[in-house]
Amino acid sequence: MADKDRDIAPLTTEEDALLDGLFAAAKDDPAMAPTADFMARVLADAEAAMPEPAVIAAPVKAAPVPWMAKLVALLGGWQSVSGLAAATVAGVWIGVAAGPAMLQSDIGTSLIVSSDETYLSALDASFAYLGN
Amino acid sequence: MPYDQQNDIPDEALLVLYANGDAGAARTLTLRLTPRVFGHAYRMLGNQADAEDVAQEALIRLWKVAPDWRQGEAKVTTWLYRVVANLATDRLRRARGVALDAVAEPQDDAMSAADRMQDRARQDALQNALATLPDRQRQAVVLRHIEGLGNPEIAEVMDISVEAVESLTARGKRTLAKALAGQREALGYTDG
Repeated sequence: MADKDRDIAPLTTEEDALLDGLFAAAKDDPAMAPTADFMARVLADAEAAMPEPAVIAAPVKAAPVPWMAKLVALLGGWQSVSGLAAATVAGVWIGVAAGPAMLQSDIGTSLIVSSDETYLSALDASFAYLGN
Repeated sequence: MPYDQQNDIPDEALLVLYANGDAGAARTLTLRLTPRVFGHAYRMLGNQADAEDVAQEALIRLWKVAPDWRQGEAKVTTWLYRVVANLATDRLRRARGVALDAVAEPQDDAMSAADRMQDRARQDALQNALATLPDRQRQAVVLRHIEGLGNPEIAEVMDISVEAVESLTARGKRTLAKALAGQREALGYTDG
């Protein structure tokens, strides 16, 4: 490299060759190589200081909903279903408790008589007694 | 990422991988940077123990700054050379007169004993001559002629102009040549 400073005397060819030889040898000087033990210490530092790997959370997959739960939800929840079940049981009980007396009454007769009024009564409670 | 796939990745990209917890990047950076950092510290300080301390501290600082590293602002090696120089200068100021003869013997069996002795004598002579230089001249000469950096990068490391780098290296080489002038024959340089 040429010296650009005017105050500094340029190196002679011999001086240049001496320094170039020493610099070239210095690049491969094994004494300047770190020991294996030192390399291990540096690597231990690196691993100790290394941030934790970023964890990418998998999308949460919805658990399968049982068909019974779907049905209950469709009917308005467990409270509605329990009320519906109670009403059903009550209706069955009334039917069983009344027995043949129900069919022998006017109401029961009207239900099994084929008349226009009976059909109407089946559609609308306000016509229930028109067939009498 | 496997280590053998990272050899062609720039230091700056490896540092991002390291900051994301890539153990392979930690290994690659350690193997790639430690010899350079240690070698520069050794040239600046002249003994192995101090060089290891400074190199280890410089690299610990790199590991810590990795998550906040700003891409494109500086080369990792430039940053490291600067940290090493600052740490070495501080250490030299605290304790002048470091042992310059604490250089380990080379382990190259391919060389004859005479060659090894002469090569060692040359390196010791160079190291002793480097130790006579002012800190800034020594840093500039080592970065330019041993580490092989270009003047613009040295200017960035040392936070000075390129012209100032050229002046420092020229003065440093002039002083080295003068210090080594009487040792040419002893060091085996008899030609020309």
